[in-house]
Amino acid sequence: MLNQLLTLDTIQIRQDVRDWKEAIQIAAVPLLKKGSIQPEYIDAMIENVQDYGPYIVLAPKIALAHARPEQGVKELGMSLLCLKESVAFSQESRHDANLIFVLAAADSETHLNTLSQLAGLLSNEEAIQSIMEADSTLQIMKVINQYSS
Amino acid sequence: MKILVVCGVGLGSSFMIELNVKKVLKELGIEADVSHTDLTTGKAEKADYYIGSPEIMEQLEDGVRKTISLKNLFSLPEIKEAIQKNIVNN
Repeated sequence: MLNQLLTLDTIQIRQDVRDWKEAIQIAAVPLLKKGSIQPEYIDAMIENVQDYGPYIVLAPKIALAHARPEQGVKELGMSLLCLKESVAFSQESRHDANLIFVLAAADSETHLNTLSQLAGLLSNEEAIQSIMEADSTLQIMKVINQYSS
Repeated sequence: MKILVVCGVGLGSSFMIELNVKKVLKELGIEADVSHTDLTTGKAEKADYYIGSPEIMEQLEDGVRKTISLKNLFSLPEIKEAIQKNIVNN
């Protein structure tokens, strides 16, 4: 369930970050603290962007950072960093993002149910707008709860 | 008809886009076999159409493969328009 992974402990709200690398690093901290990932997973996510380009910006304002299970995932986890000021993943403005999701998938199967709920959430512009405008993680949780069944 | 949704890693974004592509195909009444994979596997796998972000599609283009680029991978209207333009009219 989406709301078992995205919780008050794994969601952060922040004004801004220095660059996209810092965005991924900060977004992943809750998963590091929980023990879902090892530090090298963060480096792997950053290398992914360097190798494949800014495709992790899946939709305007939304980025999903992840790497492969064998690159340092201990257990399934997801976290979210909401930025009030967007961060650039390339020179092009269509790669600006305010919502940085981090996915730590332990294998290629168990996260699919959660991802289908996340897909439902991300396909809804109103829900995205509410999350971007939220002033507290509790407000964000309320939106996420609606997409967790 | 086989449609392959491709992303860099092949287990996060491509799966979510696959769900949206399936939703749109169902709405349009198009029968297709849709699956998702990573870029390396995608290059080796044959499909009638490849769908993904412009950055990934660029890397698949070889003049033979039919690729469909999506700017917003979560916009059902954009996916619908792209499928109608590229698949229905063929």
